[in-house]
Amino acid sequence: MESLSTDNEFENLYSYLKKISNRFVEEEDHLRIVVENEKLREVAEVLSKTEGVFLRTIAASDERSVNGFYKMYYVFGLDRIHRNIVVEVPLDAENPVIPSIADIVKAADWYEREAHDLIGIKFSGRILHRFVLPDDWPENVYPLRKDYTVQDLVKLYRPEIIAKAREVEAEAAIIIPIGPYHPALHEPEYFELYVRGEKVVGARYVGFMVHRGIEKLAESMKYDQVPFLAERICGICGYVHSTSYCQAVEKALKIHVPERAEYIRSIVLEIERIHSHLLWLGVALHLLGYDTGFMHVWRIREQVMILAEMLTGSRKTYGLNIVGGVRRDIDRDKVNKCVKVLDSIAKEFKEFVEIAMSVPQVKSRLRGTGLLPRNEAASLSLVGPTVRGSGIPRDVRRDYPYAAYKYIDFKPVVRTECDNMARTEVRVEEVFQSIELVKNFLDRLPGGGIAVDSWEPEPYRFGIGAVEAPRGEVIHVIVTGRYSPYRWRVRAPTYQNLPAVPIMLRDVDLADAPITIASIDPCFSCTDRALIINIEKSDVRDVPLVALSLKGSRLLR
Amino acid sequence: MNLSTLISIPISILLYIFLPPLLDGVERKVKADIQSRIGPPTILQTWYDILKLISKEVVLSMNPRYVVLTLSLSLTMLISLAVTISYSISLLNLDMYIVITVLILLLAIHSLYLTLYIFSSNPFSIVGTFRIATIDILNEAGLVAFAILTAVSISISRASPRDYLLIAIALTALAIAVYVSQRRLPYDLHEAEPELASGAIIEFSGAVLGFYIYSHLLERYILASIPMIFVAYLMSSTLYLNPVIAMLLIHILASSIYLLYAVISALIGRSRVNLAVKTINFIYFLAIAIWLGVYILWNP
Amino acid sequence: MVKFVKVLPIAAKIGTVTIRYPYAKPIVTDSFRGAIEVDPSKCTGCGACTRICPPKALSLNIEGGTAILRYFVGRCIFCGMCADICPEKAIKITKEFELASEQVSDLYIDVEHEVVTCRKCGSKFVTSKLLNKVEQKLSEFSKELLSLCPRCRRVEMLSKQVYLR
Ligand code: SF4
Ligand code: SF4
Repeated sequence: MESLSTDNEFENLYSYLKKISNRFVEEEDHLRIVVENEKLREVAEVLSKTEGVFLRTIAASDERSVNGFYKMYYVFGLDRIHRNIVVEVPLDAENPVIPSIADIVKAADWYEREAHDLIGIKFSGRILHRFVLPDDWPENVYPLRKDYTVQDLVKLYRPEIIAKAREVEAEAAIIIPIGPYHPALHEPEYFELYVRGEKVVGARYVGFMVHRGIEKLAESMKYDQVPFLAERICGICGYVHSTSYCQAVEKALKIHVPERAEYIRSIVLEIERIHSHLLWLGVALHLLGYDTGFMHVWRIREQVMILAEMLTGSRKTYGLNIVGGVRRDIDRDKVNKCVKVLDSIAKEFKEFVEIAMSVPQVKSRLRGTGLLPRNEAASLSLVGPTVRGSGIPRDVRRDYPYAAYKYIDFKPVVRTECDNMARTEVRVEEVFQSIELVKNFLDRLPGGGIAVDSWEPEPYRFGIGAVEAPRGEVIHVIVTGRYSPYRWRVRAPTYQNLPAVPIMLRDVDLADAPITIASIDPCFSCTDRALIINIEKSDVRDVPLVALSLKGSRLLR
Repeated sequence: MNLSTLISIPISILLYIFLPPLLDGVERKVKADIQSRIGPPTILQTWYDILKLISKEVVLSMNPRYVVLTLSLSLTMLISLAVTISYSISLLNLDMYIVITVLILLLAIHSLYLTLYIFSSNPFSIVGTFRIATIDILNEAGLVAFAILTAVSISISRASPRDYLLIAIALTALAIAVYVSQRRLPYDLHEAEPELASGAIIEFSGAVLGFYIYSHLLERYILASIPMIFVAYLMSSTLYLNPVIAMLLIHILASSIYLLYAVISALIGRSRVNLAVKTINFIYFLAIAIWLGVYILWNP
Repeated sequence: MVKFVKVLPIAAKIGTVTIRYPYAKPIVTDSFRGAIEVDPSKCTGCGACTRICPPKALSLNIEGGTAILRYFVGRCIFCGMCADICPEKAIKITKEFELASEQVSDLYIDVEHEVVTCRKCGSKFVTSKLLNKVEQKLSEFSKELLSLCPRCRRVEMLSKQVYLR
């Protein structure tokens, strides 16, 4: 590999890091250094100034019962040399305070707030308000601390809203006729758009409406049950999560997955990408009012869903992964069917995408809208098609090759126009790329078993598992426990990408806001509740749109 | 007034009253075909929907006076419009008086709708209302201009092919203006992004919504029949037709153009208000320029 | 310029793809995993499936004189882990997924097993079927010991060793 020359590139960085702390572990995929509290900001400064270093994730962990500390793990990726630098900072058990680095590394913002809410880490130099937890969550209860079990937490917290609804006998008292038509329902997220006339001049995002405590739940589940939980993190691309989880455990415990299993994982991952991108394109066309396109893209996508069911046993939530391999094999017959279906999809999609892109409104509303400049994309450590549409070729499949991507040459799809069209084109082209990849993998599918026979968990090992999901990098950090994960940190791509939305929304027309928000493919959880603030009049109107969004025009057409 | 004219008028009025939701049912089926779907179970579905909505309880979120008044007023005016046009096509007479009556009634109905929208208490529908007002004001001008232009073209002697070309240009432009007036894609901006902004009808439900939908469909069909009045008049001056047959022919033509509009709107996406203004402006100026160009340069 | 009209011939060629579900049969492939079915004649009540089931849709509880293996399809995620793990191959994965019901009791399926009582302390500890199975497998193991619950068995073994010494 190219390691020699590129290793040199970061030689200074490595020698600096090793100088600053003599406590470090070198693993195949990462260098983990223990840094003192006081030195963190300096290290962050150096890392953020080095070209080609991205913040991938931050995990906070309560390890008081193991080594007497809270721990913060900062995972920085050196994409070009396919390695990570993990900065580990132990914090005092009584008073866990750490300097904030959000001013140095922009992408750290949300992670710090989350650690503050869930583990109770205090960040000096920053005043933090509740971010993840609901407003009526009890004071000083930090759910991810080991002091609480899931059952404790369920007892401790009952959402007020339920009690309130009971109080007014909501079900009995209020009847809202929503007619024979269905209201628009996505996932609960909340944006504030600041508009001047029809121009958006700013935006703010408030999230975590549906924090489900999955990480905590996993701490009480067995290793082989967690993949099924992980898969339910996302309703569209769940398989990336179960794969990331399994890879993290496998890395931590040095389990060697059979090559055939790696191929099968990659095949299913790419099939998932095809279905996800087609889903996105369909909804994007719908947002642009081109419903015929929506229907036809989803018609083509349906074949992918059936294909996935044939290979895994389920249209979605494939249930295919276990630690150490996969559960179902792909036989010759299936390989042939698969190739046939993929060829027909490629043909139909090519034909249709040309038609869809020739629709004048689609063209004119994608081109030049939702600009995300390259430097902003880099400084926020964005991932996936969002960053690739801004000319930065970040892709886990190339940067941190996993599963079967290790065995092939992979070139990310990149566009440099930075607009909604660029992100659309990246996805469209990735569909074709994925089809080729699956065919390539099927062709080279090696023999052998599909899972390791047995493996033993070993507590307190550290592992990172990352997968390029359809929306961008998914990264799981794991600290192993005896029967269950001790700490499992999940970071989904939308988490990293959402902070870019306000930048992209600057100066777009209000009408283009939905497609711009959708252009990062935020699991479409963006548009349920919106708040429009008219700057000129500076009055705030806040309307829960779910109740109102009877899709009027649909009635009339 | 002979017997067939006498029969023709009520039939035409009844067609105006019953046809629009049926046509919408057909439109939904056609759209479904284009989108490879089954679509609604029957072409009567829109009628069923409207009847069901009308049978539901009335819930009003804005001041009922404004809603009921404007809605019933516009419905009455639509029906009188239907009656006027029915007279006109059954008598096969087309004088400026009728054209102007029709246009005035149409404009009045549109401004009634705008009033209805503006009374909405919902900030989101206000966004949609301003959008539709922008398009409406622009397009109304086009509608009036092209209706008059068509009437003028028809009243020219019709001696050479040039005069027929002039009529064709004016009629095409009128057909486009009618299309925009029907608030179809890409110009259905008032109800554009239901997640973000919307028109007034998100405030309606039950019977009010039912009546609104009905009046909207009726308006659409009346609009579609306007260019056909001119066509009928042209026909009547070249060949003799029984008034009943002529009337039926016009309804068939109007229905066909309605469905043609439906197919077109299934093929394209939605515009944006600033974009829409630009496009509409461009098309209308182009049409007028071409008409004038032909008129001046081609000297028979 | 009017390339977008080309969708019409495509639509004409493809025809209608949606089906009149639920009046028409849903499309599922042969690989589809639906709800499970426990074969009461094969199941021994060992409980292995209840321990692996990720959403805890299966449970084994001793109520009175019977052990009940309860399958609550409302929680089942159709993963098939139980079928993979079952030592008796008693679990079959069906293609059934239209399971909505107005009666919540329809969503519970119980397999009942007789339980053996510990000869010494009287606690109920294992299904008789499983005990038989174990007896067949371990013929050299004394029947005496097998009819004791794990705790009493440990005590008995220890005391025997002491006695022997
Ligand atoms: S694993 Fe099999 S034998 Fe054991 S309880 Fe479950 S179904 Fe019965
Ligand atoms: S299929 Fe999965 S979820 Fe359902 S009972 Fe079996 S193990 Fe549990």
